Amino acid sequence: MSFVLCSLVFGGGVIVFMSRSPYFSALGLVLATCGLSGVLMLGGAVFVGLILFLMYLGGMLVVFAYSAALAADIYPEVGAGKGLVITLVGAAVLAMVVEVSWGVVEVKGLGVQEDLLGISGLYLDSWAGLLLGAFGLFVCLFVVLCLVRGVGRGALRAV
Amino acid sequence: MSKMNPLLYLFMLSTVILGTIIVFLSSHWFFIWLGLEINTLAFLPLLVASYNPRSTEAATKYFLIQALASALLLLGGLLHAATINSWDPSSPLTPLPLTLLLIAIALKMAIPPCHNWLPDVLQGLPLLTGLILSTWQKLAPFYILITIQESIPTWLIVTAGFFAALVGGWGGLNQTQIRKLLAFSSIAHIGWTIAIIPFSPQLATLNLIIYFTITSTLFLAFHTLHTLNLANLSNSTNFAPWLTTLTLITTLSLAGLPPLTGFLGKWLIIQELALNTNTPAILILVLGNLLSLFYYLRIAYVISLTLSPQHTTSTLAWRTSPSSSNFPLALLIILSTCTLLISPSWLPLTF
Amino acid sequence: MSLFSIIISLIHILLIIVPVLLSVAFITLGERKALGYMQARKGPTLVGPYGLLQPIADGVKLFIKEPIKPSSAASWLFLATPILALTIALILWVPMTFPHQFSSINLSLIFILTLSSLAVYTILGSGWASNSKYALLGAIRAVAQTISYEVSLGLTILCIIVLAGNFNLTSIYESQTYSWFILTCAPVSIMWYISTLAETNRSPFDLAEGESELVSGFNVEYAGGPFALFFLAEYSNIIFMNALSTILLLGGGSPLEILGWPQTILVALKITFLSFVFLWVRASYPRYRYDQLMHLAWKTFLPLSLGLLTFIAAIPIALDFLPPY
Repeated sequence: MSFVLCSLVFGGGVIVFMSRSPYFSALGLVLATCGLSGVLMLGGAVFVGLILFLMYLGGMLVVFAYSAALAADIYPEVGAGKGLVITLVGAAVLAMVVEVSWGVVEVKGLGVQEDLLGISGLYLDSWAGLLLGAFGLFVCLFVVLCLVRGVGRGALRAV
Repeated sequence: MSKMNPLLYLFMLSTVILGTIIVFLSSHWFFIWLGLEINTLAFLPLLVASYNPRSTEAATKYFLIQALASALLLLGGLLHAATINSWDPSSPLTPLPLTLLLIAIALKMAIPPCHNWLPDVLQGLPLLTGLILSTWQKLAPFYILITIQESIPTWLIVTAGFFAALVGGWGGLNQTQIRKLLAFSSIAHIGWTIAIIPFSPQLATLNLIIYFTITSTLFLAFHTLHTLNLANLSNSTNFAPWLTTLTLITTLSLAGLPPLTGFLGKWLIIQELALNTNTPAILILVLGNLLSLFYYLRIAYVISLTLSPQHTTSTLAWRTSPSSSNFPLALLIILSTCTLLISPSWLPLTF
Repeated sequence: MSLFSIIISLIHILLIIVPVLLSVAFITLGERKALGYMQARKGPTLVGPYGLLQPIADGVKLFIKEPIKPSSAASWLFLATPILALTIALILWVPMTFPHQFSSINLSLIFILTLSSLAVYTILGSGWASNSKYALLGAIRAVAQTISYEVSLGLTILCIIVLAGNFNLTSIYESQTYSWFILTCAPVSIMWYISTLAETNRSPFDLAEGESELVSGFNVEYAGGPFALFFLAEYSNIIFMNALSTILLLGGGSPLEILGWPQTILVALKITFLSFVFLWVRASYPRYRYDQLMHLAWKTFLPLSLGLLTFIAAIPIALDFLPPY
């Protein structure tokens, strides 16, 4: 299982930088995140993995893919070939690393999970860090809006 | 050239400052990373505040480099936490996280071999934004470097230091653009600064502050003179003779010539390295500074020595009333030329 | 793992896939029949008794036709997205309780939300890979609509999670033994039902594939087998959403649960009723305009469901008890 997930992560990464059209890069990110969430879930952090999947894929990345889909590419292609070989080799190495470091991974069943405890700790003890992180995300959103607004307000545009 | 909304500019500027302060106040790799990210992201709108294709290019390059650096820093912090189970930046680092963190800091501060973005980015910016880029933006990575300096092998950081001094000297030799010259001078000075970190972090901080003072003076002066390359510089005597003369002196101070402020840092660094019997490092640093001196002297030559011997036919600006006073510039010029004269009274405090 | 256990697993998988696909087949027939009678005609009657074999004939026809691929389409993505669509639609059924589950997942509601958000990519991917203006526009409309309504779906689910105190579908099922959640949070339930209509791109929110205007939306370039896969996925999603409404709001098999009668029948009846209301709505209401659709999602449902979420979350705290107990 971890082999499949790691190859997803690595293959997604390869697709991101091999592809000539941005849409495939977005899809590569989707693959990579699927794999990463899977690895998280196998490691026992089921809640974190699912929430990452939900927010990153369902909320954020879909908008990215949406915008990338509007990019004008008449004959979109992803430059595969060598990338596939690199992917397989890399995935094998990554899978081995994961297997060795975690031993035999097993899916946790019903009951209280460690990651849920950690998340409640986020609200209880390190609330200041949570607020700081939220502020960072807010700044990020604000900056993106600044950068893509009209030229008159300082947009990041080539023309 | 359109301008950004002043309120927006203010918000972004204060967020840039806030990001650096978060880095200063954090004792946790994650929040150090967060502060750096806030700092970088908020700086991006400032880069494109005065819109032109060059600034767009500069902002894109800056973003890519800084995002890579932040990602490496986070990875290093995570590996550190995974290996010794501590997020504390002052706890001793194992080699792999240390390498990642050093590469991240080198990218952030433009230490060779990760320095090539700085001249390009600086060339695309207005001088005042460039001032922030080459001073305030170096504070946070410098702080991280000081925090982890116990774990860094001495030879490594000293090598990086004199390498930076050499690259900063060589890179600037062929440049005629003021902002690229200042970028290479920044690289060279960062080299001097980090070379002394293993021996005396206080001295490194002092040298950084002196560099900040002098380079701020130069940026502000060139901003006042509306000068972006050496060819324009030769004209500036005609409309701001006093400022041009003082710019000449400040340039020499940046070069580190004795009666001026810039000599202070270099003097103390050489003294400290000599006390630690690190003679090769002194030799290479000074040789690197000699290379830098060439282009500082070229600025000086263009400013003062290419004037025609006749009287100018136009009215010199000092005979008309000054358009506006520039108090910060005046203060900075005094600081960046005369600090050496008052230094002995407070110098013992730094050791 | 022995051969025997592999076979048992395969049978388990087939036990969930085959009924779902069969019900999909018959809901298409039911849709045509219901719409027919609502318009005072009979619907399909010729193939088999009362037209019962019509969906099978349709399926056979679709699968033996040539799957045409436009020459300018992105080759592997064009074929991968319908497969992915049906796969996701079938995986969604895994944690569903009737009240017995194929697999008991602790965080089953998040699992469901996650997978249904992944389904958006198949729509976007197919529309984009077709390399046709109409497909791309249809896909973009569908995606914008789906992700907008996913927000209100998520908030509604949060209301129920707050009341049930668990992400697990089984415990939500059990917590409605004496009272259905449709009574506890009625306004939220109405929004939930409308959102499921919009989420599955059903009429009156079928703007993505409004037949006459957008030539069938994102799947306009698909024919034969791949189109059939999309079709199956779409109807499977419709039934799934109704099953979810049944479990979350209508209490599953709840009145019968007290008597100890088989609850599966009641669950099935409720799902059938809700699916019939989907068809009823389709026969009754005209299509929304696109800006009205977005207005409804972002300016009506979002603030309302946020407010109700706060309200519902406050009730257990005000009454001084924590939901599972």
